[in-house]
Amino acid sequence: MSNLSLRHLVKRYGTVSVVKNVSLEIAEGEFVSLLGPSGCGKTTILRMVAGLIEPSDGTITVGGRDITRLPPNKRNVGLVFQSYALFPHMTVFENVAFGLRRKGESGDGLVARVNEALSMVRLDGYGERYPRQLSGGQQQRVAMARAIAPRPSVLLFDEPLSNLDAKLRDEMQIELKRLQRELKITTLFVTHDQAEALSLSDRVCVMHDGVIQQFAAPEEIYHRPATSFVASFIGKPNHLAGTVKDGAVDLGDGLVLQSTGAAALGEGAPVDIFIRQEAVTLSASASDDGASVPGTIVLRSFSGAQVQYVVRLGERFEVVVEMASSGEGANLAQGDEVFLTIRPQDIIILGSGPGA
Amino acid sequence: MKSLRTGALLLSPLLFVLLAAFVVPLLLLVPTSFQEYRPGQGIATDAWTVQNYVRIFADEFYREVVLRTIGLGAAVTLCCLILGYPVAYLIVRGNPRWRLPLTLLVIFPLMLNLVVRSFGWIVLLTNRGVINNLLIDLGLIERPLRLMFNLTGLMIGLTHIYLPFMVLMLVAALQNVPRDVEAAASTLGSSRLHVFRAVTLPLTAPGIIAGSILVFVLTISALVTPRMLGGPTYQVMATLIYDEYMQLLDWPSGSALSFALAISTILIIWISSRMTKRWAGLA
Repeated sequence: MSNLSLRHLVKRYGTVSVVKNVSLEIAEGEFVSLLGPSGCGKTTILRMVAGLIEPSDGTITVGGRDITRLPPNKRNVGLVFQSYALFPHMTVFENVAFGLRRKGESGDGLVARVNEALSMVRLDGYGERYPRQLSGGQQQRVAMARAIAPRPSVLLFDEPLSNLDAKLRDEMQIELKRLQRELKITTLFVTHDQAEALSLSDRVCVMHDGVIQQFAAPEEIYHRPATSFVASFIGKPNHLAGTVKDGAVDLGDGLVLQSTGAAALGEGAPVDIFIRQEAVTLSASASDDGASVPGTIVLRSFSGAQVQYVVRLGERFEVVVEMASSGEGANLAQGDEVFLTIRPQDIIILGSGPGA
Repeated sequence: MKSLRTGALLLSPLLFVLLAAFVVPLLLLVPTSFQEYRPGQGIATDAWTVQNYVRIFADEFYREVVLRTIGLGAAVTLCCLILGYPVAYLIVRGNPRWRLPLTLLVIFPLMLNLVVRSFGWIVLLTNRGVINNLLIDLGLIERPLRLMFNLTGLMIGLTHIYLPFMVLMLVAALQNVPRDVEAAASTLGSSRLHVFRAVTLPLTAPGIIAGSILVFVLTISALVTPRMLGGPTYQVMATLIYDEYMQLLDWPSGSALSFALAISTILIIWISSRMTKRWAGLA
């Protein structure tokens, strides 16, 4: 058993709390991402799990064993750093062998396990090279091989892909996911890249200002964000504000949007609504059921698979709409009067004001 | 190639000074070192001899001075390394508030004149000096300890004077060790001691090499401090060369000693840096 659980974790520096009462339960073999902007405390949490930072309060247990006050070398965790942190004075083989030697492995067993780890990250035959002779992506693989070779009970990643260029990052993401599925090691992955977090994780923990905003499956985070922060942080949704009126959202200027969640918030309540760019359909004529609102296209930009429009709604709002460039609605022009249709269940609606 | 020409141009002032003021006079001494000094007559220009070099190894007095000098260099280097590493570590890894005061404390001795510093040690170390008087007053010893005119005095004085160089080199080296690399070792199961031995120490090898070479070279070529703390009888190569030239006017012998010193220095540096590099996996 190597489920990781954090209970009421707090980290204070002087009077400033960077991690405020964070509790997380991560099941054995689960891949969880800590996602948030820089300074949200995610790296601090990771380093507390690794034992590199001492928590001010709270407990960390792995498989029921309390490791809160243990030094890093007694924790049996594997950590992959953003900077790779390879030992520059050792060969790739010695880098990967480092943790195994610390566990008393030697001789043929050691060689076999190093080679096994190297082949898992597809670096067979690179053992004799030095880190400086490898590319960034290869160094990252060595760092991964080094972390997994001693078979840690928990694997920690600290923004491991952020130093790679975009193409390599996509490749490494797939590699990383494959590796984690194969090894079934409980994994905590820190990132500020939401696409990375959503595509890799079983569950995503969105953090802001040292507090967990939402801890749920990627789909749920995306489609049913729990707070305004999560809604605006994930994706690039359009943010509008209005009030609940007759079970719909009144945006003023005679604009009314039908929304499934509106009625539950109570008549007259101020609400924030978030609309994903891809959830809007543009058409030249109003839909029959009256669920569409009128607008004017103020900007069109073509970006390959998608066409993006900036559409003005009434006096107060502009929304960005993304349409497939092969479908209908791809050939609208600047200045066109259009109708926006949004399915009521696609509107993310959250009560605004204090506590929201 | 433009960069090569620019480089040569940038180097040329220093190159000129070094050539005119250092290399040429040095080369002029090469023939001198193969000539014979005849007491009362001066340097004989009619005959060539290798006696001056042979004597360095054959004559017991010379041999002792050479070995003493090299031994002193190695010992002072080792002392500076052992004393300096913890200080450098504290400066780099300790409380950032201490960094400036500590660095100033290390540099401060360099602001004092060498003669003043050496003289200060005489005041402390001499038979009726501060240390011996204190120890006698405390009843710890009956006769004064011999702290001067021997290896002890030179070791103390030279270690003190060259310690700052070692510390500054080590500070620079330690600053270049990424904390993440050390953290990686500890998450892989290294105790703090093992992290230091397996990661920190090898990664600071370039600084250890540079600092050691600097201190070693400065020590074996030091003249003022050995003269003041060693007196006229406890000779090292630098003081011996000085005496050969200035007291005995035996230029051939002094020149031969100078070359022997220079060549052995280069050899020792070359061998030791190769050894260290191999140990640190940098070769």
